[in-house]
Amino acid sequence: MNYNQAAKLPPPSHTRGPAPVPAPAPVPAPPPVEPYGRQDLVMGTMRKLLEQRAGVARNLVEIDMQLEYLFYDLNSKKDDPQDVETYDGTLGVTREFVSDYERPVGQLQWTDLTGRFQADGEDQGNVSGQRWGSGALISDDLFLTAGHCFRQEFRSWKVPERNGIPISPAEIAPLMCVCFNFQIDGETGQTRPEVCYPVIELVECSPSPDDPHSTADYAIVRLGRDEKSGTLPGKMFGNLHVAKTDLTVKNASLCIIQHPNRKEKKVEAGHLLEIRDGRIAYNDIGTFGGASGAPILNGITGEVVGVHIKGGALPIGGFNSGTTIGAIRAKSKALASL
Amino acid sequence: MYTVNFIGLNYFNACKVGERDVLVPNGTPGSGKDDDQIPEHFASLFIEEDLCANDDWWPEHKQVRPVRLEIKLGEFRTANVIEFRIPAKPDPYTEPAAVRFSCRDRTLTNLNLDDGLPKLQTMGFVLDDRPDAIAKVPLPGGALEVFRFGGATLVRWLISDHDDPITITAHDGKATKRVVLKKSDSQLPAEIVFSNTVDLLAPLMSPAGNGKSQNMSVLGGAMAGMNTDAAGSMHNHGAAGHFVLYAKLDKDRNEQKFESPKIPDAMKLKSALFSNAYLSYLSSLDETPDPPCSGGCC
Repeated sequence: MNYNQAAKLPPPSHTRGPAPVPAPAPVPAPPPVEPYGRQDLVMGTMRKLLEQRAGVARNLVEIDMQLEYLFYDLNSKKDDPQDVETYDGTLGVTREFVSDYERPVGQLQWTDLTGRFQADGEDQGNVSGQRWGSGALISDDLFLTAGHCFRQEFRSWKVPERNGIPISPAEIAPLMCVCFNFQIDGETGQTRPEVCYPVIELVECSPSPDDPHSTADYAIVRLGRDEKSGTLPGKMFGNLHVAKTDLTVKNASLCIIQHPNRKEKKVEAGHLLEIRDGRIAYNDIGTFGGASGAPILNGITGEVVGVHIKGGALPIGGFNSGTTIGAIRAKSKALASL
Repeated sequence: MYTVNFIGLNYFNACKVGERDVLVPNGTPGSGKDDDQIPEHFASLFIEEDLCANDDWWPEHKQVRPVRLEIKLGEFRTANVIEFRIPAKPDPYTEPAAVRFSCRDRTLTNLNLDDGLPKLQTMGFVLDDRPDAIAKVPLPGGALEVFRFGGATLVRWLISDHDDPITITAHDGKATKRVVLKKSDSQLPAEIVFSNTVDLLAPLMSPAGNGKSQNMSVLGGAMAGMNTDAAGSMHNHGAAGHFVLYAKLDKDRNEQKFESPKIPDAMKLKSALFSNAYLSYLSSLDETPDPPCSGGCC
């Protein structure tokens, strides 16, 4: 229940139904002479009743608020992502589903920029080492994520600059790496050691300086080999299959495997609310800062049907949203070649 | 009944008997040890225009700020939110502005601040007798509760009993300014936001990175002190982010104490519930990591 619903409740039953037929108006009689003090008594009683009424109204608001808290308590738990390895199977997809599809999901991070951008006119910014976004392998070495992760300006973060101008997305990307296995070990409860791969190239990015108004927010980066094993990430962690077409069925099952709040990998699931103009919306899948770029999976097939971009879902409205795979395919040469 | 929702850097002070207030560290430029590294922070009230009856706020520190909210995919509405900004202090030793909210509640209930907010005392914090706070908000009564807001926290102050109409006053030592809210028949309590963050409504520059703001005119001009080059004075405090600004309240003014704060996991808190347009806007941004100035402490 929320205030809006409370406001829509029908009025008390005694006020419903057709209005009673008024009786014929009696011939007005001269007003009786009230005994002294009776009017004061009536007015006093009315004042008391009005005060009581105000008190009841105030209590009702407080009760509504408490109901809302309780209502939200129930729902907020539903929107809490769970660690992938200890997932209890209650969010809408099975434990097996999560186990099958979580490994290729990784975290985009800024590398340690210590010692970099020290020349005259250069500024390192404030992003060194920051855990940044989410994404997923779609081949042995291609990683699908959000385009805005490579944006040059943020309101509170500053990417490296030269002469006051932020470096380009193509230069930003190789300053990042993608780490897998950043997740809680289901047996020990400890964070697993991460395995990180350098970003060697920004293959595609939208929007970009050349296409600043594109509404398809996505990027594909190419990852290098692991320093120790010399293997590409897909050989170690596999990759997700990208859907050929959009999922358009309202209420279809969706799953987002993500690094919410820059923390260990987690899973959330829910339903497709709406799809329109290359964007996909969902209002029952909890996501947080750091989830940008996470794959939106078809909750049945495990195919990637979009890339998570924005928050906004609240218990009393709003929605989260991402870019549809159709919108990405319409722009991407890399996906066409897979 | 109404709520004041605190976001950003705000210290909930209840160290000694009788002290019940919020101290807002001064993040405006020109004070502190690292004034060239911390971006400008603003202590502001954000109130939806429809809620405001009248005010006599400092004109150069008041601005209608339209926020664009997506109602359905591709369908937007614009809500006008008025930012009432606390003026910058002339020097760090000037007394903070006293910001008072209508409140007749006389019992202050702390529902979960100790569990949900980082505790400065555990970091060696000693409240200065003359802290460099830009504002001080007395908390005579009501209920305080911390919620999750994105990946950070929001502290809600619920006031049940108050004068009607609700009035907010700010006294900067020279003048007393006030904002009066409309009387509302709505069952929804009025929601006021008290924020101490960087300017989160400042437009981003052009994607080409030429350093020029691309749509400043949308905001109808700039307020006094507004940093139109929002990223121009950023810093590198790493994971500590802007938390070191709490040193402004510390007796030693020692930023090092606050460079590795232990911040409770906001994911364990209930999510904040609100209908305020400014909060709705902030919750609907791209989900890159939250700004590093998000979160109060006690």
